[in-house]
Amino acid sequence: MGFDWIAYNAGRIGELTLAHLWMTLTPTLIGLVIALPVGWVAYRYRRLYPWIVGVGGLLYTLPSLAVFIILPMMVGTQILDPINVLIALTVYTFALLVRSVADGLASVSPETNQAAEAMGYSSMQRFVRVQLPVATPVIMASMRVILVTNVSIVSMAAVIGVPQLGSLFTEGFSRRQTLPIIVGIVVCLILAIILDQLVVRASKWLTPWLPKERA
Amino acid sequence: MLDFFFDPENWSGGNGIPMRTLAHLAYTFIALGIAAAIAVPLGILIGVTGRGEALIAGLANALRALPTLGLLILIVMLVAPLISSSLAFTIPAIIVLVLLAVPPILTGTYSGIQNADRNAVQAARGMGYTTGQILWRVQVPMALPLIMSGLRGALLQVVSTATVAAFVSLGGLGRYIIDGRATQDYPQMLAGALLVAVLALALELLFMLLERFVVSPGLQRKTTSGAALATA
Amino acid sequence: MIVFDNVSKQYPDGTMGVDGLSFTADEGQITVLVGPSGCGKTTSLRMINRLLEPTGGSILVGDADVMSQNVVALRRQIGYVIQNSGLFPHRTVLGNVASLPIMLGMSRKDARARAHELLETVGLDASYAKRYPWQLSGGQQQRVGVARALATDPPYMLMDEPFSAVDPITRAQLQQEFLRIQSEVGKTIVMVTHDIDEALTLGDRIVMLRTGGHLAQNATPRELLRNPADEFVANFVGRARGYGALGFTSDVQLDIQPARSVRIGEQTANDDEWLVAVDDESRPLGWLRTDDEGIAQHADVEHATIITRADGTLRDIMDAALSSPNGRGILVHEDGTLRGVITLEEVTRAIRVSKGL
Repeated sequence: MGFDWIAYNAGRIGELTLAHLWMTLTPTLIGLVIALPVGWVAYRYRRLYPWIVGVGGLLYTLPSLAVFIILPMMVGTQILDPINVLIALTVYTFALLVRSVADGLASVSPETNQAAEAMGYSSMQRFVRVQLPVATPVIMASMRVILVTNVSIVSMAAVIGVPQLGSLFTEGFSRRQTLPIIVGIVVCLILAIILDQLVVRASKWLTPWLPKERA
Repeated sequence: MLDFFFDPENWSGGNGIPMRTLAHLAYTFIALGIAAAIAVPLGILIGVTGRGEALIAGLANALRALPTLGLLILIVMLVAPLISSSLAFTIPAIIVLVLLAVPPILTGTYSGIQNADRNAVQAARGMGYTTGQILWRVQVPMALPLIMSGLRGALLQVVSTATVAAFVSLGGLGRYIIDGRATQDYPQMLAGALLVAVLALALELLFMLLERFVVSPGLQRKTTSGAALATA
Repeated sequence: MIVFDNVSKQYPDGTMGVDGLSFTADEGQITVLVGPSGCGKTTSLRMINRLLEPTGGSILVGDADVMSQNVVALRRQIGYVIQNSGLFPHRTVLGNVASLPIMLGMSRKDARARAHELLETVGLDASYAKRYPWQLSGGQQQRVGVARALATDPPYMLMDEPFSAVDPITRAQLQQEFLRIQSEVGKTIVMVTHDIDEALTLGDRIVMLRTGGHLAQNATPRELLRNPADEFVANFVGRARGYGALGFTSDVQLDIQPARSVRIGEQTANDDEWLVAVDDESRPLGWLRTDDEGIAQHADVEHATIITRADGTLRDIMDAALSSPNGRGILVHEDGTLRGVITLEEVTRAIRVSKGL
């Protein structure tokens, strides 16, 4: 067993990687799309902030394995359905990101806000053209943490039998083989690094006004 | 699933809910205690001297990117054969829990010390506080909100990972999930998941109360959430 | 007494922070180090309690060179007040003031009693004792900072821009109260400021430094205004030399005239004349003019008038005359009762006399 194992299983590793990637990216993007408006609400209505951020914090407390199992009961899906993993990760992403969005929006200086208001920007225009761009570095910094974390959380789902890179860990364990585990870890790491760098690039591209060394 | 909770058999003996909850708590706090004993002093040292910050950032990022499950299984497979007692699976699992708990505590402690109000430290030095007095009476109290956040993040991480560790034969509440899965006993899985979720929430709330209690009210408006330093 | 003897501070990169500085801060006096940024004034201050260490010369605190003293023991006999107060955010106001005495072995009860006393001294109401620093305004924080520095009753105090971070009105108020406190406690104080007006107001002696840490002039405020050593000092003192300098001359005999006054609520004569309105305790309120015969009313008083003490500075007296609607300034006794009035002409005469013209 060695490189021939990798060569022999290359196709399967590729499939698992794609499944892993899909299960990481989809919920992260959906979570972002939900966190933006809710974060704005938490920023705009300060009385709601502690509630929204508090609920987010509690959701984030729930161990991922438990959420994978409890979700089917709540949404009526099958217990091994990959959709459970997607929903769970969406919840996690939302829980972490909503705070960053609210705090990022709040970091826009009052002068900037007032200037935009005085120039006749509507509330919506201010959000899209002023507050969101200024908050982008904060949100993107959170996105980096979340994406990398999500790569790890997805692998947990192997314990309940949802196939992705984590399956290499559980299979390796039941067959007492370390190679699949090491391969799984390495591919997960590469995936995390690539996704992280993509966010860094995206952040730079979205915030061309920032000094080069920051992102 | 309700049947599971109403079955008296599930409330007694080594596999009963009370014992497994206790076991889960024991693993959690042993790991957290060891991690704190390592990370708090080290974090203080790095925060005071300003040396080794890059090391911390690197360590935190690397451990975040490493898939927890893979790390857990790999270490158990490598370490377990070296131990010839009934703890062959427990010890490597706890090693992994400690490993995962160290970065949040380290980051919290070091950034707490780093971000402590410099004017206050400067004033204390000028007033004739010794280095030790500055550390224990000024810097550490000011760093407490972030140290507590770090501990809370680590706790979260450990409770969650201890559940998964049932896969590598660790005891605790995760057993219900793993055993239920093996025997297609979904009610048992669900019951286990609910118990774990309730335990995690209870610990989180307990810790928030503890924070209120140990952190000076003069610093509480600056308190940051534990989630920011956690890595699920 | 604090003595600087040919003190230098050279940084590792070779630049001189302070260069051959000598001066003496006398017992019980306020010595102010003043100068532009980069003149080494803060560096000099911090060398006194060894937050920085001199690279040449010697600094004596009491009779001993600071470098020969135990650094903690040295600092504990020197109170230290800094710009942004440096209060401990995790301790209450009372805790901040009492912390050092308790640490040095004073009983909690005594330390708290002392802290309460000090808060009163610095003009903070007892209701603030249980608050935390973030619940105070900048001015209040500085008051706590001063109280904390006084807590162990150290013979010396170092103050680094203590009133710079507050608004001008609060600053003037804090300065006056600080002078009052100093007249009670009589500490040997070295203070740093970049504000020449503050230096002139607070200093018994001013040590002016120029960029590079050289002494520019060491003089009393009055000498500094009258005889600036060179162009640099003259420029730095700037506008303070003119009108501002009047703030230091009050030794000229003034011709104060009696004033016609009327009590609020009393009948006034209809003679189209300016009267000084006074309250029931004979304290003047301002000028009052009556067109018609009638009762003197509060609402008719010209409150814009500045009222000042007859033994005050020429600057204050001139302000009183200038702010009056009729060119005559209202002067009061020490207890606030009416002393008399002075004309603008008499003020300018007094200024000429004081300048020897």
